[in-house]
Amino acid sequence: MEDALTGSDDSSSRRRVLQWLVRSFLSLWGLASAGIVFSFLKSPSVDSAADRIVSAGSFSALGIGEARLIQHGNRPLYVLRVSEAQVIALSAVCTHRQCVLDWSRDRKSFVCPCHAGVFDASGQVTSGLPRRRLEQYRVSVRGDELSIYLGGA
Amino acid sequence: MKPDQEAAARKRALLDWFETRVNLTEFFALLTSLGLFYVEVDTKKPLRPAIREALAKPVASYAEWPRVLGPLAVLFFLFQVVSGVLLAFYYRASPSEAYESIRFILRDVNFGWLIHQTHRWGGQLLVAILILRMVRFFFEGVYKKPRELLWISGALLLLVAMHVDLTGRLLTWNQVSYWSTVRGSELIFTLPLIGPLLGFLVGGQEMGAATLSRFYILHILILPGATFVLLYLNFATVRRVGLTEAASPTNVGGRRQYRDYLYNLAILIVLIVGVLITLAVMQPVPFYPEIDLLSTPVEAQPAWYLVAPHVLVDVLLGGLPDLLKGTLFLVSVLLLVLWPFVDRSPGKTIRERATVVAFGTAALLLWLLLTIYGVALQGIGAP
Repeated sequence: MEDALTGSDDSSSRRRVLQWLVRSFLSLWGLASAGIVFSFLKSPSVDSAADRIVSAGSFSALGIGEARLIQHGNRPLYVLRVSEAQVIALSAVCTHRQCVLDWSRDRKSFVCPCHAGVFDASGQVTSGLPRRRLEQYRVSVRGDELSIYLGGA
Repeated sequence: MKPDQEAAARKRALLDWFETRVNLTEFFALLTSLGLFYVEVDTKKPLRPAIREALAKPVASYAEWPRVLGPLAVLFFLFQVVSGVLLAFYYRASPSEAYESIRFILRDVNFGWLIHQTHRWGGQLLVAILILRMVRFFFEGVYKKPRELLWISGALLLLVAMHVDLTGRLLTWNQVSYWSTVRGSELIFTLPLIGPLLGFLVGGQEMGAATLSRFYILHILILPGATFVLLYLNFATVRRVGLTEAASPTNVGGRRQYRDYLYNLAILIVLIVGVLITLAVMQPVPFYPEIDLLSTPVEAQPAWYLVAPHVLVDVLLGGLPDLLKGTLFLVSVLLLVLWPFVDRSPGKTIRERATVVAFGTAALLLWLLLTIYGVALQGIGAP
């Protein structure tokens, strides 16, 4: 109707530009809103600074060749005393299907109860279905207190 | 055939597939019945012609600017539904976890603060809009026969929105929200009939785990469900009887079509979200400490729209017995809801309704003065 009244090229192209501007503004606005909703729904990783340091109990109570299973939230961890002075911390979850590993002192390795995957004492795969090695974490000994730093190896 | 024509044909084929199996036009008609736009839809036609026909209709005079409070309330309600559903992804309604889950939303979740704060502010603005709408209905006489149901459903909508807000306040489960609810419910529990009934609904007159989970289900399901039904009823009456004689469904206003009206709605949505984000950034609701059952904080205050009754009951009429004060409160609520049956005079102009308008103005002024008195002089009231 308005085209019939003001049919000049000038005003119809102005109309097109305005329409384009409104549409692109609304679509950008919609995209931004959808982005906010999406990133809200994406569950954040919940490592606050205090949660990243895990207390792993007494150092002297851990004999050489022994491993201790530690529960941190829903993340199980092993601390393993390899020698007199050396302690390492490893994830206790098999990288194949997320089963919790058992420590075998005789074989000096972590054995998966689900599909018999085997990891050696440093967390490398020695046999079975797992492909990735176990995640390793930094350990510190302060006095007699073991602490695991989850921030990375 | 050109590629874009092919795409259009494919889209039409998909639509046809649904169209032969379900009446899509009815869904579209449902949207219009919620008050977003009031146009009548021919549900016998397929969706595309029905929409094209509806959008080409001239806007009914009762939907013309500045009659925007109704659709505005609907938009706020929809915003509250969306943000509320988002919050429910992280919120946990148990006394030991609720506070921590709110902290998690505010601190750790991406844009958690934004969703939380806009949800808080959206509820306040929804109540404010519904109050303004009722004030307007009163002075324009939008409750006279045959619009009684329009007023009653509007008043119930306001009361339900207030209760959604009140139940929502408790869900944050912090020191201030807990004690505000405890103190707010003291008066209500003294009421005859309503008191025991409400006690039954919220799981006893002691606040605890039962109260939290009952308030939660009231807040997220039952009261929003009631809001949905009342919105439908409210706008169904508008579609049938219009708002006033001049703004009746048959009286078509200007030459504007619903196509333009849709653009106005889009602008309104952008504006609303802008206002909410501004409020969330400039005036965020504070994060209060955890519940301490042994001390009542001074910040425990009634909601802003309850400041006037609070001042009246606690400060000015403090000496009267609770039962009397509670009954007074109950009678004024009933007076609001059943007003169309109290004032049944046929007069429509301001001069014909002089007494009623004077009464309404006095009541509104009293409410405003008591609120200002409470907020400014007594420091009562929380957003």
